Amino acid sequence: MAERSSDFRDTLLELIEESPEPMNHPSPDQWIAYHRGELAEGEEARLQEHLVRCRDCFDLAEAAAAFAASNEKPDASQEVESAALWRLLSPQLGSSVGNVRSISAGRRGRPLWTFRLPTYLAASFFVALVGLTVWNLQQRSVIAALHAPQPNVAFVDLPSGERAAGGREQTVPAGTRMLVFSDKDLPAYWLAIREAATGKEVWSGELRPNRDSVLTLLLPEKFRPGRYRLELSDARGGKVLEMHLLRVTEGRGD
Amino acid sequence: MTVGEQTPSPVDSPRAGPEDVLRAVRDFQRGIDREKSFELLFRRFRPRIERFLASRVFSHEERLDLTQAIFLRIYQGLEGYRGEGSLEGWVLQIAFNVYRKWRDRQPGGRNASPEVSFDDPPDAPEPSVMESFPSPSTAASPFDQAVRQERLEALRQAIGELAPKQRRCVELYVYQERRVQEIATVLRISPETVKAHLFQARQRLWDKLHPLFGTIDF
Repeated sequence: MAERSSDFRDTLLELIEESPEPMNHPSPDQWIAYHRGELAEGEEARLQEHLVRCRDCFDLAEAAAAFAASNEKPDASQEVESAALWRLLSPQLGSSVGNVRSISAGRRGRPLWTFRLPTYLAASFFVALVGLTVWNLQQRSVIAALHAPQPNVAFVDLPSGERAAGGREQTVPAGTRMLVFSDKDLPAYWLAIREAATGKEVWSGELRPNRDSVLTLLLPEKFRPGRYRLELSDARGGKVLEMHLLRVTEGRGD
Repeated sequence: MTVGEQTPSPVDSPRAGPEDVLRAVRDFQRGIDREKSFELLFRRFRPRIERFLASRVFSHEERLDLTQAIFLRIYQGLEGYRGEGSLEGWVLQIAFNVYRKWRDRQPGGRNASPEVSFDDPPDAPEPSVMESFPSPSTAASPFDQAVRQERLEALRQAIGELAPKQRRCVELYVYQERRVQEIATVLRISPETVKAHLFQARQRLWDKLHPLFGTIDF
């Protein structure tokens, strides 16, 4: 295409500019008819003359050529594409044009899992983070409660010499309790707390007498209510020296 | 069957006949199964719109966007379609308007050409070049004015003596700055014929005008 200026070109442009500007623009129907060869020869020539001066009509006439051609039977890929486009278009019918989602802006509907994976990972991480934070706060409050001084902790005195399962059962309400085993002279004992009914061990551990020859064990506040058998041995798996029956009830007695 | 009666629309057929299309329009306007009626129009006109956009919009995704925008415009306006012109003319006007609006938003606007044509004819060899002629557009003296008038008249006469198709090809090529393919499309001739017309017109104009212009370059 000639882009440069020249005498010939400038004069030709001047000559065309001198001709009167067309006023009556052919309709889209006329351009379609023109491309289908349905117009009389004189009308065709008039439309072609019009094209020289009218840029918009040139563009429209060129567009009409695509419309005038008969529809060929679309191939399978075009059918698929049309169906896909219709699926995108139909939900938007009736909405305002400003609300149209651009196809070039990204996929519509469910994206591929590869695109969703980072989102899923981030969401999982976020949920885990929130869960850990809540758990951490709970643990802190529990630990803080444990570290806090506990005034007036009740004592449960378990006198020495209790032996038989048929011995006296002590009943204590739930809550923090200090179990006291008095008059102990061995350097170490092994205490096993078992469920009275099943004999299942709930807790066991080594206890050493303090300077007053007393063994102590703090039962925590949330120690489960029930009937227990406290077996004090000389060593782990050793001979049971004392046995106490303890019943922890639901209500707090503090 | 009367026009406007609700009938099973051959939506699945992309080659629905004109009667089917008109019936779909009337069903749509009466609110009878609008989506199905519109789907028939979609399948009918989508290939034409795709053909229209194919040579103008390079990006496939942008073509889909434009197609979508065009059909939404059609959907919004279809209720007001009164059948004063043909439906395809009406659709063409909407498609063209949507495209033109999009084109004018592109860098370069209406002068942006998304298509790179390899069909432009090579510059024809010129017998000689005369560089020293004053430009008529900038001439100011009485002598220059006289030269300008003489050239204008000679060109008018020479252009007028060209065959109509040759003249239109030259005018569209120079004045509208259109590509060979575009000229061929609107004049309904082949690109080779356009090239031949341009070549022959250049030769004839050279024969008649080279003493005045020195070079006939387009």
